Amino acid sequence: MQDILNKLSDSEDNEIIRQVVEGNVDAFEFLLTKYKNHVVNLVAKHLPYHHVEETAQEVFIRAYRSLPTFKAISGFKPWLSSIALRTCYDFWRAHYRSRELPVSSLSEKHREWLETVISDSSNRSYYDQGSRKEARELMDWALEKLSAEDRMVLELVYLEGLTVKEVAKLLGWSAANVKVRSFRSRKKLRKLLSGLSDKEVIV
Amino acid sequence: MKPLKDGETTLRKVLRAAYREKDAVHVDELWQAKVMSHIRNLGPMNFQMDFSAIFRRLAWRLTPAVCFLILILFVVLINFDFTPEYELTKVYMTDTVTFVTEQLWGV
Repeated sequence: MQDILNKLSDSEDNEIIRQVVEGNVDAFEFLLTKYKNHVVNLVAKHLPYHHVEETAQEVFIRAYRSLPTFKAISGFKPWLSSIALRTCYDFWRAHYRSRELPVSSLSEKHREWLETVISDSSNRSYYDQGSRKEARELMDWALEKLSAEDRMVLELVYLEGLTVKEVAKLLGWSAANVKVRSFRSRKKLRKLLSGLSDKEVIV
Repeated sequence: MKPLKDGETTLRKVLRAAYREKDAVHVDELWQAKVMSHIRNLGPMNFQMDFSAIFRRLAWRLTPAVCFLILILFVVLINFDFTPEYELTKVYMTDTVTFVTEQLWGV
């Protein structure tokens, strides 16, 4: 049933894309309405909140400009997701070049939290202590220390749990490149977190 | 230190959970109107077929087929024993009058 719905949705998208390519610019609004939440939430996973709207807009403009190159084989949604992730990657590349965002700093509280998590055998510290904020800030701090490439790969492979093949397809890189990046970025993350804690950190 | 590696570490679980628990962002109608306005300003893109670009893209893809075609033509020409001088002489010998007349009229 889901397959049928997906196929219907794809054929609907393809028809709209055909209209846009033939010059009906207003038809693009259908795609914008249908996929705006998907794109915004995808971008929000990778970027700070105050950059989400602007970047999501950039994603749709890029998608509009690239519509003639769209091939209807795998569907519009994965194609748009790929554009969204590449736009996020470009954002981080530009950001790391200019360093316009302040690098977050960690307090003693974050160190204590990390020590507790890696020492806790119950696997429940995160939820028991309600320290989501610390987890998020610690992660942001660590990701900030990595390069744009390492950051994207770490987020997609390590945190989202996508396969190497999926990430390679989304970012347009080779699978070997993603594999090597994934290994190196985890090593860097381990080193960063071990520097914070007295204990050995396995990530 | 406790053994952490049982497929997925505690820290990884915690970081993944924190990563996934980012609040959902919703954009309003104003944002959508702004994006559409930007796209309308871009106007209909120049989606005309650029034949030179298509040719450049296809050129290398067609190379094996072209090489194969050249090889086939070469084999065919050898098998037909195509010798123009011989054919011309043959025509002259079989129908001399017509041939000479045509030569005179410059045909």
